[in-house]
Amino acid sequence: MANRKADVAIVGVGWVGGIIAAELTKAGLDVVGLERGHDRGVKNWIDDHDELRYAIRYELFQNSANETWTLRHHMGENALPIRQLGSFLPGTGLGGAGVHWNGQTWRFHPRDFTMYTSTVDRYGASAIPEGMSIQDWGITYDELEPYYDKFEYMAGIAGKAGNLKGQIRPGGNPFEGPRSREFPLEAPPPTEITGLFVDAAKELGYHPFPGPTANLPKAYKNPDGIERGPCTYCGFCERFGCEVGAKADPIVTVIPVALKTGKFKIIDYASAFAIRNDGKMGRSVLYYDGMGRVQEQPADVIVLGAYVFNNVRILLVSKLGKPYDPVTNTGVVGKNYCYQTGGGGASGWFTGRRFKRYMGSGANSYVIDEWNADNFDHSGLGFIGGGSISCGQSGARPIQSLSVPPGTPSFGRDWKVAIRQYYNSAISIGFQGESPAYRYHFLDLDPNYRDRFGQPLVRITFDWEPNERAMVAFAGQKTLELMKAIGPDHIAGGPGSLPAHYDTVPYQSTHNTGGAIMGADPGTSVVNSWLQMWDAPNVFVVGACNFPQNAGFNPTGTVGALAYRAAEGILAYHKKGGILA
Amino acid sequence: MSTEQRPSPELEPYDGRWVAVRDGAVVAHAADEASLRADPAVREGDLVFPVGDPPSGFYLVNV
Repeated sequence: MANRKADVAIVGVGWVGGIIAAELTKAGLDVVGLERGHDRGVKNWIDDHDELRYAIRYELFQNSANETWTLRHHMGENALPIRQLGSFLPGTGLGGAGVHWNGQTWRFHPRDFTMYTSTVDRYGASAIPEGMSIQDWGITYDELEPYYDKFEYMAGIAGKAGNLKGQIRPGGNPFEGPRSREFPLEAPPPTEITGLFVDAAKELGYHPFPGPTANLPKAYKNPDGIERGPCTYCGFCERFGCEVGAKADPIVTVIPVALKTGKFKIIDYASAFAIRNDGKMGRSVLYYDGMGRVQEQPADVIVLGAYVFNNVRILLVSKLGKPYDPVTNTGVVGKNYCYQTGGGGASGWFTGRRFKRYMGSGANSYVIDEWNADNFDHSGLGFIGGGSISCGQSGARPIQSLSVPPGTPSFGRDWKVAIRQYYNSAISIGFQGESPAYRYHFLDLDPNYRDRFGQPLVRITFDWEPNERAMVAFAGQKTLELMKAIGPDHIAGGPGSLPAHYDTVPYQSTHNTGGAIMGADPGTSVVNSWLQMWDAPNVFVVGACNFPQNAGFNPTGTVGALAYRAAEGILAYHKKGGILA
Repeated sequence: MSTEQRPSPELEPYDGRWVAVRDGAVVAHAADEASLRADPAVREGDLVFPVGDPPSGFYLVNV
């Protein structure tokens, strides 16, 4: 027997699910959240700095023994299952990946939303490499700005506006789009480490600015009345839940707002796998409960707010929306899978200088944006795109933060001596590059491998392409130039590079995007600018799966903005129905 | 669905080397950038880049 019908059923209770639940329940709707994990919160993480448990053994992440993905680099290859987590770390449990993130809260550039048009306008269509399938988002930065603002004030983001209502302001990012108002909180000052980066960047003529952070530098009360205390700079953000609630996550911000209304019900251990539908409307969500039994949650409106892969898989399993076929270049579900491009960083080690690297917070960084997006002239470079360059102090945990200069033995006495010498003397500069879409990078259902419930795994077809390889080589020269200006005694860096093939083993980024992309044309996108499915108007699909391609910044700020916009769209749809204009 | 190959070059044989790519194919390779650029087979407009693990280790892009 099916559960009682809800106004809205949401799959996944992370940032997307939490934001939408809060907005809809405040407006009086009854909402059910289907969470495949379980309840948890700050109480679970107090004094729990267990790096083995959380960072090495992946306590907060999807269990790849239960559900994973298969990967192939191109269509001629047999896809194989990713048996262990590595390259990316999707979360599971209440709050989703919003619990273990670092708190870097960016807005994408205005050009990012019009990447195809902007590139053609500036360089001509021939600048877009063959096979690259970038497209515009169907929404502009200006249209999304109010929702960015809403997310930042809800989460309590600290930063410095570089563009306030069109006026460029010193100390902020001069390349960002116009903000309607300042950040809710002032950015923390540079640390000794990030201060070296700031000085070097200025010396080279750049405009360094504080990275927008969701790690509260001081106590904050948000517009919903939620109060949180300041960060203790313990350095256990990434891969950990925040033990004091200073890092904005859904559990300490939006979920309690929804629960307080009495209109939000969360069903734990509910692994959604399909939307029952008639091809035109979604009727209910089918899920496995904690005992592995199929259950059904009917609703007037269905929201897919899970991780990229899960949203796409549910659409494909449900046969909702036309699956993408790269050969005929038709269909949309699974199209434009993208990632994040690293590989252009530089590292340095001082012999006579010691920092307090063990202190920090996940988004405690200073950044330059000169080499990101289209902020520089690409004429003659042979590639398009770029990325942000940053220097952070996010803490230095005792296992994964041991950093030694090149040439140091990887074990034994000399290694131990070097660890002792350099643990507190290292500095790194990172490059986080764009990942453009390609016709042959996509998601579909694997024909051979299934999860513990017998549902097909998502198959990823992806590899690094020459455009990004050239971009990374270029970026590595810039980070090396910065590191030389900082002047440590040992430096590792130079033209950045990527392996011969994308490798799922080393951790790189959990910024997987695409597969249910947004746009203005039903023929090339899954959802419209309200994240409403073209093919089923009562189904909303929300998250980084909506990105037509990925930008050179962390995605969460944009995911949050899209969630607020979707909530507004759902309310409008609930009142009058139809495809929203 | 066909198993058509993507139009990108196979780079595994060039691990640790610099390559020049034109129209999706490797047209030259060398041990370092200077040697590659000095190769007459390399033309202006070719994409030139190294293949392999980055020099500083893979920078961890924060989640």
